[in-house]
Amino acid sequence: MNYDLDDDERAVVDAAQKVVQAADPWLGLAEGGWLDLLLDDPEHGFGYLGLVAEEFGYAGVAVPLPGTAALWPTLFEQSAGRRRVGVVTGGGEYCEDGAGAELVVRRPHGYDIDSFEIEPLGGLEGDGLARVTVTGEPVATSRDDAGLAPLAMQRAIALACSEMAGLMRRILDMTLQHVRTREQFGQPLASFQVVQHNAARLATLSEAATWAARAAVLDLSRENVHAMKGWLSAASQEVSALAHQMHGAIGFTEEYGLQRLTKRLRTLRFSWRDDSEHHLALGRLSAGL
Amino acid sequence: MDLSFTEEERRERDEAAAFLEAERSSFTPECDSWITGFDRAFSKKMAAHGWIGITWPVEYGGRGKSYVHRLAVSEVFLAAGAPLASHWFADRQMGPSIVAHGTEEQKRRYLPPILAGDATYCIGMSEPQAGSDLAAVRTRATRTDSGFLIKGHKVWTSLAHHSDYIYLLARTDPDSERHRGLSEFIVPLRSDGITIAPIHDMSGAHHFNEIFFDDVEVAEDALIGVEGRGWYQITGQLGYERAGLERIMSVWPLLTEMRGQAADDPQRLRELGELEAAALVARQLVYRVAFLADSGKPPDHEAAMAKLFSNDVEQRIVEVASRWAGWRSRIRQTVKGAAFGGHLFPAWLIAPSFTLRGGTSEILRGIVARRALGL
Repeated sequence: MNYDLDDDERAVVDAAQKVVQAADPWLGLAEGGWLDLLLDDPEHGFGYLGLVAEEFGYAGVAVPLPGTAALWPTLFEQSAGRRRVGVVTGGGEYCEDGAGAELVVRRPHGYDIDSFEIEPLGGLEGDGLARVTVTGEPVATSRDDAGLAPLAMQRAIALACSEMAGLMRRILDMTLQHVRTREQFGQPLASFQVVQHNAARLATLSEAATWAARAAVLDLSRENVHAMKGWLSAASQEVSALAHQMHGAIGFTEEYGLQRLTKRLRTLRFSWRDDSEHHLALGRLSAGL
Repeated sequence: MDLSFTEEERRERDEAAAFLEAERSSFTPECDSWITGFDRAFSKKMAAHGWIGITWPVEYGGRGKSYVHRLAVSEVFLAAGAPLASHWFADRQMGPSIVAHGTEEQKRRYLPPILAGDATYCIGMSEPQAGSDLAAVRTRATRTDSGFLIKGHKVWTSLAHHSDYIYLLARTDPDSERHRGLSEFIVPLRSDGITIAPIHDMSGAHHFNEIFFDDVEVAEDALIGVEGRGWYQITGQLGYERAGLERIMSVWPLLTEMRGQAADDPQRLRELGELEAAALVARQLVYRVAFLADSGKPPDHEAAMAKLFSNDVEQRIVEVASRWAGWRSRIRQTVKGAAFGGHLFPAWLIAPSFTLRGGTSEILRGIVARRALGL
């Protein structure tokens, strides 16, 4: 086992931090070849994508990486180009990252923008939840749906895990910054033991989130992906609650950045299946069903 | 990054599983078996397979493998609820501490019996006035012409009544305060002047003891490491103590039973999945600590985080099992019909200790706040 990033992985993190700060991060991802990493580097590419998704989470920049960089290329063995991919995750019509999608996957088929209509449904900023209606013929069909579909879905879920972990690390950093500098009763909040213990809990959850996400990316077995997304989704509520509590009123103002992060975290909790669904799926595997 | 086992680790896990299958009739799986499952014959069989001292240097009879390797193997034994208590503490922390701080002669004397499964050690840290505030230790070791004279009182000493040696933290500098002036000793428990009295825990079981040292003479070479540096030696030890898989797997026999009693109920399956998920995340934190140790970075706040996270999960396992069992939770474990094959009853009785032993959660949160976050 090796829990350290190697030189290549560190270079990916550095590069991703630059891309996410660009004027158009999506364009940066496309032009940098990040969206095709899975096809270009089958051995390491997905691990690198996980690190990229963490950095986008940390920066609070929401992009449709799971569908575009993971699910489409896995399912159809071809690049989605720089077109944003939305994904119908269940059997119905609800689509992840549907708002703004230029391609849509409804397994076993892929459709381009001339062949579907989208009705955005998401209430929180950056939530691409949409209802999709297919109106034309597919442009791609999965060669071997039974074999590729589960892997494609697990990869997409794992990237959502990575973004959640990045968000939680950012939320932790913001909260630490706040409790170190905000003074009450004549001293920084961080001088109070009760605040220190809440911060320790938040830090423990964030650390766990990082390794949960990396474990999901590096071990895409059904059991593991259900476990990690289920845990991250469930833990996200406590992370947000602790951060808001330690921030006080400033944390839920529109002006301050925390609310954008906790909103995105809530969106991701209920995206790519929520804790309840993943826990049930894992419980069934665990019970031998 | 690579979070998978090596081929060798996988092979050895298979060997451990095969060993346990063959030994199935020689033990009864129990929760907390690494503290309460004392079976020297079992430990000697493990020793014969090289499963004690896995991480110790080859030149002292160990196998020179990684901490990750040790975890990978011990995970199989903990999952089975196998009796590990006879060698567990010595394998986990005394041996590594002797390797790190002992003289050549001490290594040659103390390590081989541990490796053979012949020597049991207990941990002499807590005292009546020094619980979470360990630096308040008062037990004195006074220099004599030939060695040290020990006087004092230790408490909550698991397994002292079965042990050959106590690994003792005592104050060698009478004028010292707090963390300075403490030293570590290996004291044979059959020495004159030692009285061991049992303390029964709330389950009625006897693993705790208190130990009185009434002018116990030990030789000069009972001192391990540098006189006056005991606190700093122990801090390194505590990292290994805190972040083992036993911090998440103490109730594994109970969880194993739960897996078989959830099938007809979606709510139970969900709760089971939630526990399994949290346990798998905890496992990552624990393996990461072992990796850090292998990288030459003594685990510190990382171990505190791993233990905090893991203990929370194991207490939740007991609570969820209790809800499932309802009134059957009350049936004592020896009676037919006791919940979860009799594992819930004792698990609930030991559960409060999970977040106390090896450093309370409050102490650990303090460590995380100070040393990880700089608060």
